[in-house]
Amino acid sequence: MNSPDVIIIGGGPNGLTSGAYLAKAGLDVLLLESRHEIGGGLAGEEVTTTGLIHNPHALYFLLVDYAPPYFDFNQELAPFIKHIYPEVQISMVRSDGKSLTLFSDPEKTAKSIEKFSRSDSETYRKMYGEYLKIVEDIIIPYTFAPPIPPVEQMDLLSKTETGQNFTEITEMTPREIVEENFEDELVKALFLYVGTHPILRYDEPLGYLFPLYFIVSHRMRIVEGGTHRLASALAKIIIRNGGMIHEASEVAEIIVEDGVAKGVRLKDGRKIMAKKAILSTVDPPQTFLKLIGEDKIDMDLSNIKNWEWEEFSFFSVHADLTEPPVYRSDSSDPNRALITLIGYDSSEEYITEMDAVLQGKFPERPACEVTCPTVFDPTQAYGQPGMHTLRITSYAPFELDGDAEKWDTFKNEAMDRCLSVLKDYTENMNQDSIRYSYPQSPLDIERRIPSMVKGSIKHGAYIPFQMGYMRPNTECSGYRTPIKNLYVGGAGVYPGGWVSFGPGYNSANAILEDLGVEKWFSEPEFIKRAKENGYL
Amino acid sequence: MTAEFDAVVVGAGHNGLILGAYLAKSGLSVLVCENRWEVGGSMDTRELFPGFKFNLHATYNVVHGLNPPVYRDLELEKFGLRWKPCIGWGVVFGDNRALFYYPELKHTLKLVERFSQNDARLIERLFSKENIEKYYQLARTLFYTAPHELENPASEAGRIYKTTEGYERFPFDSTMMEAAEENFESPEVQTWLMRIVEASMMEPSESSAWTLMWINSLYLNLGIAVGGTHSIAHVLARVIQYYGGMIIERDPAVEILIENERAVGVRLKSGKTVRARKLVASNLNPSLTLELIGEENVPSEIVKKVKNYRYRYTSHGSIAIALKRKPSWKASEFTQDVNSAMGLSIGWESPENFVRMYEAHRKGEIYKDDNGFMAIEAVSFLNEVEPTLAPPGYHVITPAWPYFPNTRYAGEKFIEYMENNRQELLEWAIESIMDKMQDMKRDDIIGATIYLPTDVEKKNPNMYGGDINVGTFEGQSMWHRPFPEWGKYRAYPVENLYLCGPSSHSGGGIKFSNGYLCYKTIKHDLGLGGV
Repeated sequence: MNSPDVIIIGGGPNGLTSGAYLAKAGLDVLLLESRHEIGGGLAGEEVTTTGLIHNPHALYFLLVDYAPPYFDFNQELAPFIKHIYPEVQISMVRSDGKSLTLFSDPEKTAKSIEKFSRSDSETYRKMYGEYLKIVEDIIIPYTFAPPIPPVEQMDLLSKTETGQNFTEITEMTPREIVEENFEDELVKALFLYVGTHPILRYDEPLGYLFPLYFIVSHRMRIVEGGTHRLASALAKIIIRNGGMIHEASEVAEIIVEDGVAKGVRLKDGRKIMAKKAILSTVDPPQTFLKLIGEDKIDMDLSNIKNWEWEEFSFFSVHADLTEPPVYRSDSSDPNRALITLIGYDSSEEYITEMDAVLQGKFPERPACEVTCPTVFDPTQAYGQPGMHTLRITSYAPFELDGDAEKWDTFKNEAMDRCLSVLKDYTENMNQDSIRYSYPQSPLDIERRIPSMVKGSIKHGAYIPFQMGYMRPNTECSGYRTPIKNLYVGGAGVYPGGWVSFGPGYNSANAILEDLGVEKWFSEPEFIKRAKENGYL
Repeated sequence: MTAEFDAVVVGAGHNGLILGAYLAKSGLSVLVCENRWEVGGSMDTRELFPGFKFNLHATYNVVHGLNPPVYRDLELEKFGLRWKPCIGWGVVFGDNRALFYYPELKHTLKLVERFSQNDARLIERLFSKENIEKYYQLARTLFYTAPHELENPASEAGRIYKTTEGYERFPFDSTMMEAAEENFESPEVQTWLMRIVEASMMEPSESSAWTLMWINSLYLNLGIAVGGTHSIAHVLARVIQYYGGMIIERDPAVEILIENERAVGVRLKSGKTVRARKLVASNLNPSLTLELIGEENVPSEIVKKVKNYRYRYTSHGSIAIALKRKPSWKASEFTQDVNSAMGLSIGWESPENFVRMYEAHRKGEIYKDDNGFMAIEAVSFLNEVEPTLAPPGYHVITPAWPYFPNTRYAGEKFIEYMENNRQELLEWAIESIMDKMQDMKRDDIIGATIYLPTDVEKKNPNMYGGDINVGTFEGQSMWHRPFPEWGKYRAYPVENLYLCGPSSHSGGGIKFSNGYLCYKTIKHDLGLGGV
């Protein structure tokens, strides 16, 4: 075959995003995906019975208001992608039936909090205003621009009040932020979930993520027709612009000669050379240690060699329902929430739960995040009209009592535990209404998506040494590497995972700049503003 | 909202995609609309258990040896399609002996000799290089010649057939069973050869004797799509998009718009109206196509013919099993090589079984073999050929297609029975497979699921009652498929409306044929340049 300009390794959200930008810029792009299907975390599978789409990974999207691909590809995506924005975003049901709800509208949320604590409600209002400014002025621009060295960043932030407010919480843990601000137990539990649900420890000093999760928890959308639609739509942009995608094409080696990345060798023996650049979106240890090899790269590899996978993952249940769940609650909010939280009444219970998981246990009564997307989008039950799809996720260790393989025999038991919590919290979930259920363990996550090692959905833990300017290390967090023509741009690179589109967007920018190819898209307004404000 | 294209293709299965790709490559603006969320129809590979992928439907490309024109015309390799050769196809009998194809004929013959010396000699003669060349020429004539190119490809195929050694032995007017029993002495050899013709969706009552050897010869050159059968769908979709065509999933056509007896567009489920300047093509079965056209737009005799279109009495399901370790066939005591052979059917013992099965299916009953086991076609550990289907060190059983009666003909009660006994049917299938394995333990199974004919129809509404051929060949073949008036890819009397699906010639299966022939017909009618 002819050598493409750019080879992209990995067809997840970042590889697809980068590929779409580069192809539209006129580069000849070849994207290689090891699985039989592109999408990575943008996955959809009919895992239960035919005609019901389940979303085993990403289900709700947090950055639809901000991520540049949504705007830059607006025209291309429009015929295929419609987002649904549920008014009730998160509702938490206490064991006595009282519910606390986070609406897309902060005013309504404040009113819901008020039922539990007047002071928490005021705090929430204040936080919302403050955090919105931090998110829109600072965090969003920082997400879609290369990382800045910490000292330089501190300096830039120190010059404004918003920047100072942001700096104050930077090294706090989610637990500290919640404890410091709220008094009611349920309110604390809700915001602890909000601050940690992208698989983050409650005691990790990464406070700067808190405002982001806080704000975007009001902005969650689902994709009509299921998450995988987004992958298909991005792939169409690549193809339409003359690019190519090959599935079932696992890269075994990045060919490096004289410090220059020249091409790739595939596991099946094919060798494909790239004229201009290679972008790897797989996890950092795989890119540097397996595909390149230590001896071929002149760089301090300590961060990569000591790469830490996420300390826990999630277990999920996918079920086919004859009707959506009706919660035992004083309100109907939980029934129409995008996410319903059940199984714990306080932040302490939530913490106890996470501690158990960190010790390799799966709780007897897991804390559950429940979603029933068909309430908002009946098309996900395209082949069984009237039926519903349910997903329960719960934190879970990869190594269950020290042994990941145990999941294969334990997952039905784990599923029963989750379903039993669901049955307790609902009026109508029983043997008749739950037609079919299907478990997915952290081991299954690794089996499905090899870059999610040990069930690490973000390609590596969010810990201070693997964040910001140091994700994956100081040399490569700006997407360029010491190897000429080799770029990195997966979830293991700044700003990280959780379908932020950041690494994909930023790596495409870096490649276009280096190749001197004109950008067909304009700089986002928020970046311009951040530059004016002195944050960038 | 109205959009306008040159051509609208209804249904993004195998044939709809091929037609769409040719039209797009010819420079037409094309829209392909699809009901499902993912294109491909029966080209369906699913990761039912993480890391374990299953071809629920089509798996073995039996026309691979014919090198279909589509490969070359659409540059499928450039768009990422890769094939692997695959050996096997045969039967494991109740006494745990087995008969299957090897890549080299001499090895196949050695195996046949253990059943019958005479049969081996006859097969050797019938599968001479010269005969096989003629079989392939005959098959190409049948699958890749359009109506305007040859008024009667069947008679041309027949003419070629008459020059082969098989002609005297397997005449046009006998059934495959009569021919097999008359010419081969071993009931196992008869069963094996018939099994393969039946897998090509012939019914034992048909005058199919003449197909016995040439259909078998296709199984000497099977192809497996790398990454699973669904990758063929990806590749075809890419060709369409590359040439500027548009595929829209989850938005099926609910009406074919007709003005002055011409098809002028479609109305989609979303409410959008799409105008088609040149043509509309339907990949759907006659009933569903008629629903879109509206009965008022065709003469009553057409309505009657659509209603009389007959589906097969046999339907298929699918079994998917994820395994920790690969078991050995019990038949490996008979021949070790069985462990690397793909596509082994279980539940067929003798020609008499074919008749019994057919009768059971006609009555709407599930056929059981002599020992009470389920009949399952093509049990395969496909990851041996295509390792991407299972995580390293693990295995999949895929495909494995259990045979059931057509659920539409069997009736509501039967459908209800199947839906309520999903787990029991799965258990029965697993037991039927385990009975043929030496050391397969329940603990080895990481996950298993069954896909019923009702699921087939839910996913592919074309496949009434789970009939994967979308209509029997009996009296409904060649230019008489689905019936003479609609038999040459045109839906009389509606102008500019074409039919490209499996209810047209050459029927079901992934043969790179119907969509291609429909394109050739359109090209001829419209005087298109291009491919």
